[in-house]
Amino acid sequence: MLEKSGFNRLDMEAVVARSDAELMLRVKGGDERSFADLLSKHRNPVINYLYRMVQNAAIAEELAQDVFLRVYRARHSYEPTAKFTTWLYRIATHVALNFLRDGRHARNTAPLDGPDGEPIRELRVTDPNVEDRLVARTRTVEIRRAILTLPEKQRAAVILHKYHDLDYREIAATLQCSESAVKSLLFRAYETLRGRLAHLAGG
Amino acid sequence: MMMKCNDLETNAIAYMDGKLPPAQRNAMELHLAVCPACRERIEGFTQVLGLLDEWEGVQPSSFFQTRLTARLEEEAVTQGWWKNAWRAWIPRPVTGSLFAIVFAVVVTVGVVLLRYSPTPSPVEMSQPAAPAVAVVASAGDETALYQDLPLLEDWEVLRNFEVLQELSNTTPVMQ
Repeated sequence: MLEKSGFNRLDMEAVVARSDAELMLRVKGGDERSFADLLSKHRNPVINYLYRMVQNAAIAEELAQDVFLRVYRARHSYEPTAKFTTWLYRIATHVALNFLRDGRHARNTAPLDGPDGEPIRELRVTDPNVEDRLVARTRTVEIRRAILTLPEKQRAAVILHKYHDLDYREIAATLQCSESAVKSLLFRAYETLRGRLAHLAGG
Repeated sequence: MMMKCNDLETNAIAYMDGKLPPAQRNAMELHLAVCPACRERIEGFTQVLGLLDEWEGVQPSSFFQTRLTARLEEEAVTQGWWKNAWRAWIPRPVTGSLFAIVFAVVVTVGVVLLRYSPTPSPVEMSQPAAPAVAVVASAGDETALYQDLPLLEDWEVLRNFEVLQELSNTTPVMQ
């Protein structure tokens, strides 16, 4: 019994420690369960990345489905030459930019302060009363609008940097540019946001 | 090492993230101590990073997983169909080299058959039109026919065709 539980514990640790690349290589070898593991680990971050890029929760989910289908289809040709998350975010960025550029964005996205633009199913709801909630909502709308007006690449860089903790090398690999270009993108983006959100900074 | 205002673009974000090497970090702090404009920028960036925290993320809907699972299964079925179709076409495993040899033989035979099969020449195919051309051709046009030897040959045959010559002067242009 002890031996059995010891094996299970070690097995569990091995599963936890297994890198994304290892999981993806197992998927390549036909292990569907490893794909489910990758999916459960990266589903929320990918949806949220896409949500912040296109600013619509339903569309973000649709695009995320596309991203994971692409990952699944590409399993046979997968080679762990880059970090898995970098590869994943590169696919997600490609899908998001395609969506933003092909005109569907303008047709499908409701205004930010409209009912569809409301960030539904938020992770934390801590606002104590309606007035505070209204103020918070107005501030969020302004923040979202400021991010939405950034050029696509700057927007992607800011989202990956701020909300996904990717370092400059990873952002550079995702956006397929140099690290110095990423630093420059981020500097210009934060400089723009500083100007647009200055009135919110005081309180 | 001295830092200048121009160096802020490549160092500001790394400085705020705490990712600058110690020497560059010290240089940055020395510069910020004497440059109110750069200090103001860095403070502004820090405030922006704080503001962005207010935009919370979303959780996937309950349909996401169901729908994705269905699409993945559909994908697997489609791929399975292709595999089955391929296996049905080639009943037992065929090695790549054998397949290549068979393919090369089929292509070679096809090329040989096409190359050496008795196909009518373009002139022969247009033969019905040739008499009209030959009959109306004047002596002056004959030189033009030298440019096209097969056509000239056809014209010669027609000119010496006995049946035509026996027709009582019905072909004045040929005399």
